[in-house]
Amino acid sequence: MGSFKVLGSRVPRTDAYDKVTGRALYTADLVLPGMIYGAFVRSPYAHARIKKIDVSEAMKVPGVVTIITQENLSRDYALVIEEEVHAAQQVRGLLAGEKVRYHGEKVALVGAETLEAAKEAAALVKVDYEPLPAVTDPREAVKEGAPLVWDDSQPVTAPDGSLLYNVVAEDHRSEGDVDQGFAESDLVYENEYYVHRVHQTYIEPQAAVAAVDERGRVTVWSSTQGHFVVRSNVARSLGIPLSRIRSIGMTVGGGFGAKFGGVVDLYAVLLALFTKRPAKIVYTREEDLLDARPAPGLYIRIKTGVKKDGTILARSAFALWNVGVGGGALWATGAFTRLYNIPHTKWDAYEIATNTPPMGAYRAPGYPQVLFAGETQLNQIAADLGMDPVELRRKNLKAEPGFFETLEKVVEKVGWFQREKGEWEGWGIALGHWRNASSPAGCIVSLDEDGTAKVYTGLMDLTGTETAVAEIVAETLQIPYEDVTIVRGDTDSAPFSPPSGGSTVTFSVGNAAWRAAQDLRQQMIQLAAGQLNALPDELVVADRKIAVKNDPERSLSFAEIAQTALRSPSGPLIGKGSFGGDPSDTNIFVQAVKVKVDPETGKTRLLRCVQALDVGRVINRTQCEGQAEGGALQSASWALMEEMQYDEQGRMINPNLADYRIPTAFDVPDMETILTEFPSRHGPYGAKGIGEPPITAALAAVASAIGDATGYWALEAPVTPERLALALATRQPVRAR
Amino acid sequence: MRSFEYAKPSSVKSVLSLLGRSFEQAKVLAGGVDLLGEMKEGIISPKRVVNLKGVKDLYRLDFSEKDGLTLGALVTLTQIESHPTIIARYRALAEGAHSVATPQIRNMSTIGGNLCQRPRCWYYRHHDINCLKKGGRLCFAYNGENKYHAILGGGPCYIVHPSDCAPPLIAFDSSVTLASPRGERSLSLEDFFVLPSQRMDHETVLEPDEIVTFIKVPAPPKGTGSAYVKIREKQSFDFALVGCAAVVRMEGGVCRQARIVLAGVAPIPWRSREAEEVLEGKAITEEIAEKAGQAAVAKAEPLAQNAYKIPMTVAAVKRAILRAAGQT
Ligand SMILES: Cc1cc2nc3c(=O)[nH]c(=O)nc-3n(C[C@H](O)[C@H](O)[C@H](O)COP(=O)(O)OP(=O)(O)OC[C@H]3O[C@@H](n4cnc5c(N)ncnc54)[C@H](O)[C@@H]3O)c2cc1C
Repeated sequence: MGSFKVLGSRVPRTDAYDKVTGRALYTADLVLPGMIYGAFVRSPYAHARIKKIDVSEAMKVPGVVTIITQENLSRDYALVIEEEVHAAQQVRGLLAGEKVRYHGEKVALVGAETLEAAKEAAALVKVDYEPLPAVTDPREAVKEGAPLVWDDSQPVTAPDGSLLYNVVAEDHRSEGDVDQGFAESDLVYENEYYVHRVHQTYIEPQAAVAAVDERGRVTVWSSTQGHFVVRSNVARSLGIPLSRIRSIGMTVGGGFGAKFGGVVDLYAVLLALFTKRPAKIVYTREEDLLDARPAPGLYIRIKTGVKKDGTILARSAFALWNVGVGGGALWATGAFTRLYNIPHTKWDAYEIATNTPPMGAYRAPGYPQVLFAGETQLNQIAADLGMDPVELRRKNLKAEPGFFETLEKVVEKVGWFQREKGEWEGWGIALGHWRNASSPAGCIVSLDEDGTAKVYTGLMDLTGTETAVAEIVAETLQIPYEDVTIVRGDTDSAPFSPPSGGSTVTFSVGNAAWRAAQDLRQQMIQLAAGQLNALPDELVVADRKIAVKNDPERSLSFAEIAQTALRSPSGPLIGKGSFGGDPSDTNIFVQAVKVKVDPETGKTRLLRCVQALDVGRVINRTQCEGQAEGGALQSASWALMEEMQYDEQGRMINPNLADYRIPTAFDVPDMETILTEFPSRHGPYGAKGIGEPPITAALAAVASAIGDATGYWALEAPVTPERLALALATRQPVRAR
Repeated sequence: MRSFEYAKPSSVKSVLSLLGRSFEQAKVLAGGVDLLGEMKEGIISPKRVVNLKGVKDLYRLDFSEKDGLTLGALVTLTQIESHPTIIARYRALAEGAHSVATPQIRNMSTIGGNLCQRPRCWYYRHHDINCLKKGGRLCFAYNGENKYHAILGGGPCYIVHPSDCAPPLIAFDSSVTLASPRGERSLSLEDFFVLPSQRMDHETVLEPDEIVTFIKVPAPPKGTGSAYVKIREKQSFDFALVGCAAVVRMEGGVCRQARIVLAGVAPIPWRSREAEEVLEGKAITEEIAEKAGQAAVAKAEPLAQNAYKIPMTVAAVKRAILRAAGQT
């Protein structure tokens, strides 16, 4: 592809100025006339039977408008939400019914004139609980005698014949014959890994406002990754026809997979329906940590058979996903096999219900957990074989576009084969990957009288996708980025768009926008051809003009074209683009890190963090780097500090950002990022989705670097100072206590 | 947060008249960094909040060779960490203050509030949990999640004291002045803190109607060096897993006097006389410093999940001593 005018640049994000100056409007900023505020009554127990709910005292608090419990709901509205992928076909009510199943579960919803009144009343709702034993660790939950999260769940039989309890879904896949593969191997390694549940810790907690008009039409404003998804969720869960819902996506302070709706939006709508007044619900940080959609935890046992020369013959896994009271993790289990030529593979994966909140997606859902195990184990094997971990990868990596080249970029940048390390320092390398979602999307591009373009889209911008789409349109029309205005619409005003998730937006909406811009460009050329008395092929589009190739004096500016169109029978120029979801391609992500371990304190410092990402095509260099660095950092943080902690009664004991740790600027080294470009067959200008891959590998790379530094391989993440100090003192592998 | 009555008097006397005979009745507000957190999280719901910030006298910050350093209760941690005399003469204190949280928090936090702040134990800070410290029957940490809890001086409650300023202040032999309707009293800062075995409802000797007015820190004699070492999981914005303030007075290459006070390991700032004794009369070497560290943890009684703090404490003590003696 030739050189680009706009793509590959570092133009500032469309939302940059509003965000840094505090002008951007978030959901919490909205105040509507007559609005009430919602507050939840939440379970203090991880597992309990609800014997009685008494709202009489709470109703007396001045300003209380309504208190909703599951009993009102099922009696008056019969409203339920069906949690997805639930083998037991459990239907969870919007509010707890007979039982609460995790600490912080919603038991009742108070609506009041002020937030203070709502909270005061919530504290006065008397709930009579009969506490039950709880289980939060999937390794315990599968055992006979463990508390059953869902009453009617039956044990299933594992491949080794044992019974597994609390299973809500399972998946078994194989290719080739692993038994044969292991038999043919010179060496077979089997290791267990454990990753705790972690939270996406977006900066803006969950928030929604809803209103119902006189005709019963619902409007919902929310902090969401996809307002079209919110619309369909509200429709399905509350039984409201789609056409009677308008969903507006506000500026979003991060989501990372937890903001596809269902956490607060439905409840704001409920309050509005019950009271006929606008209603607002904004989570506190504590509520968000207790009751949103954190990532699933994972216990995984991986077995790998290799030849002495490092050739991998077989890999199998037995995985228990800690999905809390939700589901939807299974599909990621095979991530450990994707990059390598492995003749025999097999996995048996189970979703295990525990007394923890429902799981959600978290950036490349499930991949960091699985690859923590898969890639760390490869590094352990390399160390055991006396082989360089990069050599082991070179030997087994698939020869797909960009795989080797991107790995070699990191090797080169680090000087991998000449790498140095001081005392208690270590290096780790790991590979990650993703294949972006490809989703239906529509887009409209119009040309204004001044020759600038407007893009009408329904995307939700979390990562700078608005900017990417603007750049794609600018490149296609050959106008500067500043000449493109994005009009981001709600579900009433914008063409259908997929939610921002799975790295789909630049690929899918980008394609729709590219098609719309192409359509507009064709119309402009047609019109110019008529005006300039030339054939369309004789025209060139450049610098806000269409000119005759061999006679550049004969030209029309974009402004003239737009104005001419208004005076012609064709009318205003509007390009349309629709994308149905052509196949996408895998991109590889390569992560190398250097760490230094303090052997006396167990504290690990990141010294270097070098990552390479195949982006297909650089649309905006700054944003590509930002995605790569942000993802690498989240993953490294997962390796070193993040963990949702539950006590023996199943209560979350660190629902705040003092005890749930995420890194500060002081914890992060300079990030060194390399972008490679191996175009996707169907991506706009070859772009691949790049949001997910950067989080997939640092977890393994950091754990492996610690192994390289200390000789102790982390089998449990995060590798906190406590775990590492103990391991170093007692000379035990770092693992579950 | 429940509604409450608010007052902002302008003299110590009127502050005292507004306080009550129990902490539930009235709480003192200084920077509010800790107090408002407790109120918003539903840990406490005082009926009245009395803001100290109208009391001019309590902003005092001065130093003289004769009287040493005087800190009014309202002096902020930012003032302390950036004060040239404190940096030069009381390095451990400047380092302790600097190690607290973030610049924003240090701008608001007062030294009085820092000494009187409540524990960070996750059971104590959980509104759904009524632990021993809050008047309940059980210390949940004892048999529960206790990786951040005490290895020294614990029982029946196992909190650790969160202050990073108290250890250096104690190491510098500071005293506090307290005021109540019954008059003023002065005591050494070391005696200001009390173990849960003696008192459960507070970590200090403060009566509900009593406040800290001033902290006095004697001028360190010639040859004094000091340092504060803080080990934490994050490099900023994190409480100490283990902290150590060391103040040593050297004379002719020999340690004449040493004060070693630990943070993060006990329900109060923990003075380690055992460590001090190792140092006194010795030249300070890495080996001696390590020995002092070992002495500091000789009586440690770890719970199920916090034994890692033992080697960590040894390291912190060793590093603080070596830095105080100017060796690293
Ligand atoms: C996120 C976070 C991280 C923190 N990290 C650290 C840390 O790493 N190290 C550390 O040392 N501290 C840390 N702190 C605590 C912080 O330093 C203290 O909360 C702060 O110093 C308290 O000062 P304040 O003036 O805001 O006190 P306030 O919040 O106003 O008061 C604190 C308590 O002391 C009482 N009080 C205040 N002044 C007086 C007085 N003069 N007499 C009697 N009682 C009084 C109040 O009634 C209240 O109970 C952290 C706090 C937060 C929120």
